[in-house]
Amino acid sequence: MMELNCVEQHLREKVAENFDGRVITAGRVAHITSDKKFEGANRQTCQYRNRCIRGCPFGAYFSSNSSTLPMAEATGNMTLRPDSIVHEVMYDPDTGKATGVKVIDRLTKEKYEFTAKVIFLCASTVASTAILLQSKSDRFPDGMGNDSGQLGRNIMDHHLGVGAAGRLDDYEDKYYRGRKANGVYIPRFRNLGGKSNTDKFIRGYGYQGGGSRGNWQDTIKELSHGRQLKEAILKPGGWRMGISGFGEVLPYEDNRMYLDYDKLDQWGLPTVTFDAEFKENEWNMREDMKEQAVDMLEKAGFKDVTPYDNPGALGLGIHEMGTARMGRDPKTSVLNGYNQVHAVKNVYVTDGSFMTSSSCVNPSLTYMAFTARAAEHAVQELKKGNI
Amino acid sequence: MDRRIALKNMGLALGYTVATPTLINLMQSCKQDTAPLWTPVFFSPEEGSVLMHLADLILPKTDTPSATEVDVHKFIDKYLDEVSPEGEQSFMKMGMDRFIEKALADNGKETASDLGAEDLEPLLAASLEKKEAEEERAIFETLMSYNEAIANGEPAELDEDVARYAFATQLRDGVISAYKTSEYVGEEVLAYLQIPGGYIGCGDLDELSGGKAWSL
Repeated sequence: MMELNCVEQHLREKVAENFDGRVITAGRVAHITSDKKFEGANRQTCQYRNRCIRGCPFGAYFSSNSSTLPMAEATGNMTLRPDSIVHEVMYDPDTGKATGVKVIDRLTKEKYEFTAKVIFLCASTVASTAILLQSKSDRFPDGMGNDSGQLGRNIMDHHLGVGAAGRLDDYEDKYYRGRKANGVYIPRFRNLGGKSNTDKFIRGYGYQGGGSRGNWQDTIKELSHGRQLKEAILKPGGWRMGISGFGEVLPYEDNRMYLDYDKLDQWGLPTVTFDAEFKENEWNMREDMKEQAVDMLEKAGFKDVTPYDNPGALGLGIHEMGTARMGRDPKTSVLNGYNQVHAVKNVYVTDGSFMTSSSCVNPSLTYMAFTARAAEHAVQELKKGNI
Repeated sequence: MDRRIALKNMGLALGYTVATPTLINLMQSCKQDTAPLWTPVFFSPEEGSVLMHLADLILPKTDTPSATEVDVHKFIDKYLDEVSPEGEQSFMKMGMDRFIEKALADNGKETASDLGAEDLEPLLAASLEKKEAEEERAIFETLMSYNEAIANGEPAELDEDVARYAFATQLRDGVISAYKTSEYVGEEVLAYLQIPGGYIGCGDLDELSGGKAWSL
């Protein structure tokens, strides 16, 4: 647990007082903060540098480099082949199974084929879907597993870039020590029943946010240069805090990605084109995301509360998902409940492409949980001789 | 108004730039440069002299070192030369030109190398003068359309006051960032946190950092 700083605690208390049932808690990050030992490459506890974006040299921040890859390597059963562009899953019509993958070496452009009993596509949503779309055969003229026509459709993300920020003229004699990797999280409080319901939109959103002491510009713009400016820049500035919404995007069949065979990349592979937009539910939700952010900050005593709304486009949330959705009915979905391609049971797709709705929370842990579940399923099915 | 958006191509606002290996190398190479006479690479020697004066006017020597004592001028010059995109390079050159022209005219001097700190101070102060919100917005608009025209390869002329204001504020941001990220200031002047680290969310300012801002 990374504790809240002074203004974050302040907001938590004020929101609890003024808004029935709204919670402010620590932001969700996958860092080691206790003495508990974790498997992987000599993982250590977080040093509170907040340089996670560079790749953590302490392995404190969960990543495949620090955790799952070293664990896989330790089994002695892993062969890692970097610079491999998988572009097609090969299919044997006689057995109805996939037989392996075709690969182009990114650097040498040489082509390889690898055969396997079972194939996991976990190349990220867009890449996995593009591989399936490229895996054409007589059986699958529109791409492997695309009997339903849903492959590449229903692309979702989270819509973000809407919220508010303000300053708090208090706690001037308070500070924090160290740089935590998170801020606060405000879980969804809309459309959960009763008074939380709204008729303006369905589903909901959460906020991520944080407070900190800024720099001299916040408070003393009068100081243009010289001795006083120098003194000011060496001291912490005023407190500021902002919260920013992450909203659920609904799955729409006409929000899609498709391959462009007229525009090939340097490996001769088709490029991906996106044709997707936010629609009425997202736009209506954003209004509420902005209003509630302002309301919470103002009721907590923040000054100069400024709303913002920079929608950008789908993809900005880098939570793309849904293009090979899971479902019970092969007529309307690509994967079954164990992430298997309905019609090719030895192909599992375990990145965000299997998602059927986007929720409003960060999705990686969900993908990982489903991947682990699918891997267990594949092991059992292999043992039983089912795939 | 967010000047950083107005001058999107102006990386001098180093506060937004993480310390990449390139930058760290730059800082180290600044430090190793022990030649008694500094020869700028981006600016001309005359402009370099003005840059040094301006840097020390912005952050003069007090009980802590001045900007040039921690080689802020060398860093900025090298940064503009090696890191800045073309748009920023030409903007800062243009800004420096406009600034020097006005300083020469104000002081009745011929060449930039004749300009001393006392000649530059009034103009720097005027250029950095705090603006009303309305005025800032107007400047923002002017800069936006200027940058847009330049980006589209169209001829553009920037109002002299706006050019000097943009140049001076960008330079000040750069000087402050370079100063705070210099090794000496980062380790000896600001509150420097080494690893092993830890986290305290809310505590007494004096106890936690001695009243200073945290380094980096």
